[in-house]
Amino acid sequence: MKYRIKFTKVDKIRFIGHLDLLKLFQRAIKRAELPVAYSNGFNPHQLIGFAVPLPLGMASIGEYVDVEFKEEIDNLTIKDNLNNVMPDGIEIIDVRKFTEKDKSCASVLEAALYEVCFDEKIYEFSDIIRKMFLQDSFEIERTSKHKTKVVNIKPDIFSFDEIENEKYTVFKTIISTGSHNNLKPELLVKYIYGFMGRDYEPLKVKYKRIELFKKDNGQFLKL
Amino acid sequence: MRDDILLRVDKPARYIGNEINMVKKNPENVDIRFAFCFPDVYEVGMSHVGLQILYYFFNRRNDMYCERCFAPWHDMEDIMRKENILLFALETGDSLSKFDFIGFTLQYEMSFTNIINMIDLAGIPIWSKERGEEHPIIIAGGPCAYNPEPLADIIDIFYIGEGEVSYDELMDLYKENKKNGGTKKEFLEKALKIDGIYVPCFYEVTYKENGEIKTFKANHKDAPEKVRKVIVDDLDRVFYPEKQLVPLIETVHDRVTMEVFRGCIRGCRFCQAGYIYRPVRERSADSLLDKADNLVKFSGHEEISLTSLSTADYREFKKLAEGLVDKFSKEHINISLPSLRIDAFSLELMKKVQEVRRSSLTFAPEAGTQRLRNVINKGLTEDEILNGCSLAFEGGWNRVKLYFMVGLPTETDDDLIGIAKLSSAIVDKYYEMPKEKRNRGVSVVVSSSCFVPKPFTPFQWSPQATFKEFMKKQKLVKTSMERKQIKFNYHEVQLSSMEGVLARGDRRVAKAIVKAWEKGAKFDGWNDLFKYDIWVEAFDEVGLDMAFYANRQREYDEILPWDFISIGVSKKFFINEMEKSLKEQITLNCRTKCAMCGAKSFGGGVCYEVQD
Ligand code: SF4
Repeated sequence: MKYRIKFTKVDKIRFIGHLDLLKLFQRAIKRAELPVAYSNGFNPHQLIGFAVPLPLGMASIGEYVDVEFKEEIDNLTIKDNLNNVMPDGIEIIDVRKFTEKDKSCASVLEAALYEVCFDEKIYEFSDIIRKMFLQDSFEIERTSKHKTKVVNIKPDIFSFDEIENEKYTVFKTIISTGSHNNLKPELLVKYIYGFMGRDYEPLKVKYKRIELFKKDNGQFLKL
Repeated sequence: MRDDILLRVDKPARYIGNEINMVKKNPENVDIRFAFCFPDVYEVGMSHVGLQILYYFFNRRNDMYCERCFAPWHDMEDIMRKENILLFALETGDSLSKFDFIGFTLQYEMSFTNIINMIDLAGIPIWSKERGEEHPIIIAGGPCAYNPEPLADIIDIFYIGEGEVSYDELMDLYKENKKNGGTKKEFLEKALKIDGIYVPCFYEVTYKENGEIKTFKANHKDAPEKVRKVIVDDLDRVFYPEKQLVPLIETVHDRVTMEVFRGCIRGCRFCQAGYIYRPVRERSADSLLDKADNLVKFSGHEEISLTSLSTADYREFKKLAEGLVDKFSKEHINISLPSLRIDAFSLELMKKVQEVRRSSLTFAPEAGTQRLRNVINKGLTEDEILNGCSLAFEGGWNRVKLYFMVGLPTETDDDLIGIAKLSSAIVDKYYEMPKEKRNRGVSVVVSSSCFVPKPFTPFQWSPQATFKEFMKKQKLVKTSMERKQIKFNYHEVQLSSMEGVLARGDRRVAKAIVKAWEKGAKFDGWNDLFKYDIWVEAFDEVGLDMAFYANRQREYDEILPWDFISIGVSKKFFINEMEKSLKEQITLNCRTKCAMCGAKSFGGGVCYEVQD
């Protein structure tokens, strides 16, 4: 019986990495006394799989994990039992059962919605962005395995909206995420800084992941 | 801790607290705030079973809040110093300087500089005489407190023995004194009457011209001439936590740990733990099996490990091990077995709980020849090792780990070459099996460390080899290794030499430790961070001779810095053991024949077991 669990990772707990989060879930499921299913073999492990790692330090209110249980359990029981044993910052916000046919959250993931907040109000930001999007391509240098190549990240950006805020420049964006195509929001922000002719300072920008999406008939749906 | 700082350091989760089963209290509602400090990095400290026990022991009191603090890693320390951030406790994030007590656990000598560094990072003067009423009381316990003298001018109170015995009384006294508006000095004076408490400022030491101690005297009427360690006599009737702190990041050991017994019956002559924790006291298998349920349930760990000095000596081992396997193997919880004596039963058990292909057999012969094993009273014979290996090879194991020491008293080249010979004999054993049984080949990993003479052992008077001698010895062992199936590792020799200096240090050594810290020494227990040259300079500059502490033969009538502490085992016994050792005579273990060491005076444990 497979269940898809949506959860948050906010506050200080966002400073643990992906492998530690996996461990944390494995132990939480044990403490919650839920009948998790195990793989076969001499070193059996719990059958659980996350949609995509969240970078260390980034907050999210829309993370997903699939867990297989040995028997059917009420969605609410899973949610409550897990919330009782989770550390601060991790909250289960939704649980739903899914059928054998449904593919794992990692394999259907296509995009993610991020909220990006600068630590300043950038002068005429919307104009800058409008001009930026007038270009045919957003070219950046990507280094992988000693090779540097120029790639166009514009096709990986599906939406871009500035959010009203008096003190800071804030925007929301949906960009490619997952095993097929993956754009780190940081690369986009770096590009914006470059376009403005400024240096990117990592500590001055806050990122938050809001939601993860799959694609269905050309539409983005929540996982 | 600020987010922008956490984003700049390695493993930021070391500093965020908020672990599973962390105790939350409002500090305003307690009378005593206690910061339990582990002078090493988070991942090491959180794996320590003593911390786990004392944390809940203190926090079971409603009037007390015990929080934790670990040594910050360099990257964090640099930021803290630059931005004037004081060392803080994980639970509330409050600076340590606000606490009533700062408590250090002294697990190994090479953490002394970290202690000094942590006190300094907390914005507190290092020397106790420079601290005033506004500063916390600094208390320390743990194995290195059995020779507290190197830290005597830094720490206010040493607690000698097991925490469960006297801490309640000490805390009650503190609370009472605080309520009555008493001073810190008044509290320290009253604490002198509590068992196991050593307050160094009430003692004075004078020295002879040759550097030895001339007198060691109390200068307060209530200060006991001898401080006797305190121990729990019935472990089943003393507090044991139901829960365990579960870290959010990977640590050295991520598992449920259960303390099966305290002490050791064996009496290996080099082993301090084998004497200071005497007599052996066991928990019953029933109570442990009972405790295991909750520890597993509240932690979610998928591994249980039994910790004790020589777990195979546990009388109810079979019952406990089988009980745990029965209870938990269905739930996918592994039982990790500590080094067992290899026999048919243990191999059968090991097959049940771990994968044969992955696990290796461990032996600690410590010395290469039977003669030298008799000198150190290590009751493990070559036949036992070879037969154990034979059995295990037949059962499918093919990896063996061996632990040895070099620089033991009376050691000759033959003993060192013996290490190589014994290792080869194990390889030969493997090839005695018919060919079809040995398709995977055999691997023998030999680790050799350097002997450090410790207080409260029969070798407390013995000279330690110099580091140059250690190098020669390790080299001889290495070049004697002939078989390609053997891999030889040896422990950092300079680190062991330094440990040897500090282990038997006296009050004057504190100056050198502080000097070394000023020159940048910290995390000395970490091989790659340890800088021997700094220590050599530090000792030089304060005018102390390292060889005086480490490499000198002491006489039986010399006053040793730790003589005022009583561990219950008599000096007479240690002298007798030293003499027997020179005659290559062994002493039987506590269960076979009591050697009348003196620990019977505690009135419990193995000394009163009914012999079968
Ligand atoms: S008194 Fe005898 S039984 Fe008790 S610890 Fe000493 S040697 Fe062992």
